[in-house]
Amino acid sequence: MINLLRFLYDKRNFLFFVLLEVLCGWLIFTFNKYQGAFYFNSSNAVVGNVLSANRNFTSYFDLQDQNDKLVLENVALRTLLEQEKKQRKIEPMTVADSARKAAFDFIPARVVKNSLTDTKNFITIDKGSADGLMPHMGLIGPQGLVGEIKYCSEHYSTGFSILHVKNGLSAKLSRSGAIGSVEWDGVDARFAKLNYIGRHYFIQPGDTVVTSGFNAVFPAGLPIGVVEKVNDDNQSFYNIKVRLATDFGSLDHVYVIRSKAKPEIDSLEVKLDKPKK
Amino acid sequence: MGPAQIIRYIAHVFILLFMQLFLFRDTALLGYAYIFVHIGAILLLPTDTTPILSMIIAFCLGFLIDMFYDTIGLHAAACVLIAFIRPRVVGLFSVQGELNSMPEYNVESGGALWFFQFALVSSFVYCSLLFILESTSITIFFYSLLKIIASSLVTALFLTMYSYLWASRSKRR
Repeated sequence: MINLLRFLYDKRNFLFFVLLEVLCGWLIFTFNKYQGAFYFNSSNAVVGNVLSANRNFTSYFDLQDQNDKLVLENVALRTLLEQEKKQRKIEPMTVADSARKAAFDFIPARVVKNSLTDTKNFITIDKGSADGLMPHMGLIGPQGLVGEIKYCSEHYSTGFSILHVKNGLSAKLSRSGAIGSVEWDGVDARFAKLNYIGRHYFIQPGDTVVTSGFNAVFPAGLPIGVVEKVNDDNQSFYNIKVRLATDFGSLDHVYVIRSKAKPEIDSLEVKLDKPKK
Repeated sequence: MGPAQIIRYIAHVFILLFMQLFLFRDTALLGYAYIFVHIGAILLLPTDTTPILSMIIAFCLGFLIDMFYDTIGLHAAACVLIAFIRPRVVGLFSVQGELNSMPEYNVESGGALWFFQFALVSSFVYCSLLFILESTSITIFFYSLLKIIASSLVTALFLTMYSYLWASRSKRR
């Protein structure tokens, strides 16, 4: 017994090392799978405050750039508004239909933390549950799609960006209508892959990739990116490289999409999933 | 470990963490070379720190870094590993002075080349563990390997520069 205790005492450094590493391994496997269910992430109040102080300071450096982007977006929105007005004039019939009401509204937010360098990148914004945010809301930027919220604290939220290897996103090629899935391979923050597009479609570089609207998180037709390269290597699906619309390196302003239809759609899908008695 | 040395070490922790979290958090030179200067806070621990205490400090440091990177456990695991192998790595290379009499493993006490080699091996181990745990598939293996080599070189260079600045500061006095 004494010998055993002495042995353990002699090896205490190594045993303590193994203990700590096991603890780390447990942390990695438990908390990285269920990102939503824990406290120690960058949307926690202390880390969030530090990051937003940091962001407040650094945001002055790219003020001009951000302003230019917002102006461009305003121009695009104004053109859309005018087009809409014209169409209304041609078609003055008003329909009292709840389906015609806007199904989505938008909450502006600012990015306090955004990483490009990991294989699983998260984005933290300065709005939280106090502003009406909830997990599984979509995030878009001025240029296109950004990601999806996973966890909200009172004043901050953390979400996946598209730059997360485990996060697939339903997408559509706007010209051919082909439906696929945009996934990131963990290498270059400017490009992603578009998978599951059958070879019977005709795809060429320059085709735009938009959201399909299948998941009620994002409205249909939001820009995701542009096809950069198509590889046809005799497999059942094309190998398509997509240049992402959003420049994640200089992301500052984002909008959270609140879907009014989502609770309804979700409750329908829950009914489908329930086994019949 | 005297009070002056503890203050000096606390200064290391604050400076290195500040640099890591606010300057180098998302830095990737050429898209490959990441900088992890916070491991300096483990390498520069006073030499008479007991292994268990140094592993506890390393774990806390790694955990703090993880909270900012949203990678709970990943940096902590790598930090604990380099804290554990630190006493073995310092002996690997020829050194100017006596290892046992050094108050801190740095450029001043062991020479710039020795410290660079020490930092390089440590950061190589650190980056290897980090990027291998992080990479999800074998297809990006060579990309990960490139990241490991580039990042450990840049990190070691940076830490040697950091330690050199401290050395020249104390020489002036």
